Amino acid sequence: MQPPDEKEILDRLKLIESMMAEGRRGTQRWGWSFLLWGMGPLIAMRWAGKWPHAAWAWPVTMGVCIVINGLVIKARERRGGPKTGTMRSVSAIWTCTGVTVLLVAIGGVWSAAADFRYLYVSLFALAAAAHGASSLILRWWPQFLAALVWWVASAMAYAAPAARLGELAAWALVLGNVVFGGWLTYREWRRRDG
Amino acid sequence: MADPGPLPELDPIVHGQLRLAILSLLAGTEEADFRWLREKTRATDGNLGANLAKLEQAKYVGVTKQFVAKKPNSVYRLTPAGRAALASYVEGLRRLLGDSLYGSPERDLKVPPAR
Repeated sequence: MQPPDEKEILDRLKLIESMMAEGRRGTQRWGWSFLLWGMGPLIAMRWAGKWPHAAWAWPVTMGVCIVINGLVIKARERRGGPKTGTMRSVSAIWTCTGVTVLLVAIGGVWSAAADFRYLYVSLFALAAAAHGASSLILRWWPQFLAALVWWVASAMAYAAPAARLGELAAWALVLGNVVFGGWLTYREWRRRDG
Repeated sequence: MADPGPLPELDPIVHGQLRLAILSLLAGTEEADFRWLREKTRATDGNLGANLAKLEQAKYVGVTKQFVAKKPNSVYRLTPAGRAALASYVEGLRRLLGDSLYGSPERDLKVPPAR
């Protein structure tokens, strides 16, 4: 084979570099998921406090969120795409956190064995840990801000009056999930159009 | 000055532009399906399929054929032999360029290890 000239070699090296970067680049959109898991619990809290059939508020809203989440992920799997180690790590964190949050929340409320304050503290801390670990894997500081919101909420839940714990949860959900998810969705939408 | 030795032989299977793009794309992922590779390389189905078959024959890529929602879907991944071939190709290009590569970002280009 004839050895390539300098320009061809540089073109080849650039092609390798750009294709590797393309493979590593995450193209999945997750803003909707943070919006869903921010709005879902907020609706459940509102329903449980003000609307009829309050006992159904949490099971119904959480059930709907789980179904929507599952359907979107299933549809995405059908569309295909690359799989990277980073994506697998972040997805593992959120799947395990989701299952743990549901287990701790359902178990705590249903058994009445858990102290309500510590339930809030641990749920907030779990959300913070997932956001924080994900932000460190992705080296993405905006998500670290979301983690900070949840850590601060977790610390505040130790000292806040019991009657204000729900309000604290609502603020954490708005700032840590809804605002973050809304901003991320807007950013993903801009990137898709740009 | 140290003798750089004889000019390196470049692997003709890796050297093909589309095959090189496929190997590089797969080097950045764990696995990827046919549709995504087609989208990124902008190749036609026939051309991409033929080049993937050549890489498969050389055992540089592995393939899993499956059905997703009743539609066939082939998922490709770089084999250890493919990763080694790509790394050795990059090294060969570097040696061919020699000193002229100094100061360019391509100088630090590395094929990531398998995860």
